Amino acid sequence: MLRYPAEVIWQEIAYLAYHLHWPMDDLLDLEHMDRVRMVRAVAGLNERAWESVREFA
Amino acid sequence: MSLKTSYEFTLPRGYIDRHGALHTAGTMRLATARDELEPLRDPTIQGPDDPRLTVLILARVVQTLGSLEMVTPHEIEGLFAADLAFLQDFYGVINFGNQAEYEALLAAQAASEPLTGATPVTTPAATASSESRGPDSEATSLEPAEYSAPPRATYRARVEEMPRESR
Repeated sequence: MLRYPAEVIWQEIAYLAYHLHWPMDDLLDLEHMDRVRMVRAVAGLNERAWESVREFA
Repeated sequence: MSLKTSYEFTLPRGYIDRHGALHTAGTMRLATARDELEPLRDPTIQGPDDPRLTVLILARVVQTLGSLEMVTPHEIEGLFAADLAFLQDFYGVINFGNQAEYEALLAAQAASEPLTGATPVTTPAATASSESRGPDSEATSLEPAEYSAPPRATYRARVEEMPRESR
């Protein structure tokens, strides 16, 4: 049966916890694709933040 | 959390409870990280390749089945092999597949011969036992005559193959 690799789940949860400061229980209860969407959204926000940092550097 | 999504399914053959009643229609919710991580910590699970892991995960996400009050690993283990195989495919498609794959699975099920009422050709599956079937076998995999238990060594093949495209 197709499953999400456990190691990747932990990486994604750590990434979201680091940036969002959500409780662990909330992160564990995100459906797989919702978690992936959140990772992409946070990555997009980070990218924009770094762009503005570089712009004014 | 909120946003829980669930999908309806109909088992190809159906679960027969100890009173002889047949249960075919059910719902499965989308899986979370917890659904896949917690069973790994079950003391009865030998490791990530343990075929019983599938049973524990399915028991968590199958919310309803016919008129059963609750679905536990006991009911999942008591499923016919064709039904267990269908639920495994269904899990993969609703969680990781796209709309086309979802529709293909339902179409394949609709196209296959009705299994209920036929003479059972398989005993109820004692453990998860269909991981070795390829994704392209969906069109025929629901036929119990086609089903044969794979050797244990091939379980690895269908486990943990989610592409790492989420980065």
